[in-house]
Amino acid sequence: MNENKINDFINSFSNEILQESGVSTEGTETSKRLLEEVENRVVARLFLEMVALLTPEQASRVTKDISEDDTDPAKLMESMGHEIPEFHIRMAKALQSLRGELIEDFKKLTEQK
Amino acid sequence: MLTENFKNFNNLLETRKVEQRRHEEILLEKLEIGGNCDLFDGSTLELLGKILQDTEEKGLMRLKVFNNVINWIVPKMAGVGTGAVAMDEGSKYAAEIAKGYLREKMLLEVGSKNVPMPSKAVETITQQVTQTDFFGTLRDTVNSIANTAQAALVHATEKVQEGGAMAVNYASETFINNIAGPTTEMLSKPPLAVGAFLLGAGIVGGGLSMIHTMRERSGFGLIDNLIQKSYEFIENGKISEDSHDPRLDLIAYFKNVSEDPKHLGHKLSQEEWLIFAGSVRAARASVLHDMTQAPRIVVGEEVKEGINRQEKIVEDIVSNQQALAESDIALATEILSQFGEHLGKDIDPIKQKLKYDNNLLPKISLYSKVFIRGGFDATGIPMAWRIATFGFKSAHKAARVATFGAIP
Repeated sequence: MNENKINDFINSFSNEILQESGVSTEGTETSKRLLEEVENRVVARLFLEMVALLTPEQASRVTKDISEDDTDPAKLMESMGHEIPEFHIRMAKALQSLRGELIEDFKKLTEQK
Repeated sequence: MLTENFKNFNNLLETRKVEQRRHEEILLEKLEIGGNCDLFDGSTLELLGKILQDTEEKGLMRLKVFNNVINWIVPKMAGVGTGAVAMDEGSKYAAEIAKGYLREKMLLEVGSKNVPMPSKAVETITQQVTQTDFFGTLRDTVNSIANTAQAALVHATEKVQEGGAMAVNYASETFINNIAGPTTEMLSKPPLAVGAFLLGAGIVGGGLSMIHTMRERSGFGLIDNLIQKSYEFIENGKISEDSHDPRLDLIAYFKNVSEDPKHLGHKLSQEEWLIFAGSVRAARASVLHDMTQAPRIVVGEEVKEGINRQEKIVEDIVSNQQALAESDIALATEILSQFGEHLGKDIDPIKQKLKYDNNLLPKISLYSKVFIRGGFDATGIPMAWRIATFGFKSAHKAARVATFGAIP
């Protein structure tokens, strides 16, 4: 998967969350900025979700390889993913959970306002 | 039906445009490194597409012999309702046992009291069974008819060298001649239902036996052997550390067969090709499953101390994650603050409380995305997510239409 594809996916995923929350993301500069912020938030969370699935040994390897070698983080994370049981299912659940959580929060905050 | 299947495969080929893999090494490398190899890759789909398009009769798996035998028996059952039902139930019983079993194992298993009988058969048969060794009789009947079927086919293909329709007809005739006596005897014996049940189970046993022989004669024998070893491996796991992995043998052989224009001389029926491809799919799925298992790590004392230190780091990460959940809400608030004009509310006081450093976000995004890209490469999630989303939206739309009528 190249950089563009992951950007497309995150963009699409974030857009769906905003639409589901009843927030339009088309047209204005403000809405573009909003989408960008949601994308940043999704990326940060997904990163942490992935890191949280690593075993202590794997976490140690990531730290060591990234700090000492000229390692490609994407390749490293890919190899880690293959070692984690049901990694794809866990990540799918994390996505689902994040989606539901953000939508609920957005709706709640919108209602409060 | 076949035309429809072929269209579906063609559609798949057109839409997926999967890169053709020319060497089994590439496939195996993909399995080992990629971990997300398609279970049916491009060459498999192409092969199955061609097979389904091919209307020429190959192999003898069409069970014409079996059909001929059934056509011969059915008129004899006309007007005998109980017998017909019992025979049907006997067939189901044997067929149920045959699921997932090798032919030899199935024949041994028939007649075992551990295998539940169909409910209707139990109702029909148990009332009438007076013999103490009913299951023994059942096993003997199935084995007898199975052996008769196998012998008839061997005899027919030896006598009719060219095989094909003539051998099928000859085998049917030989088979019928050989079981005519026992069949008539069974159907005339009281209680009729018992005899019919035995006969039904026996016919299925005979059919399986004939399939077994047909596979060997059509060149499916070698493939069948690879498939059986692969299934045994999947079912029982690795026997020893240095044992060969028959799943990879099957995958590699299929690769060779599918890429050779003459399919290495194999002339299989459509059913056999599908069995072959389906078994390769199961083998691939099993290999992929193994490769996503966490490796067993033998941990020494020194390593354990290191792990304990790392556990502290992980705990911190988890702890941060919990804190992050709160910051999610906070950030959502901040995001919504950009809609201040639209919402008509002043939420600056909330923003003051957040103390969130927006300058960090670009860095978080930049570095995190690289990791996420790698992680997603191990999952194939983006595609699956879009499919799931499409399905959800379609279902949602359908529900709306069903509830409120057509959406303008």
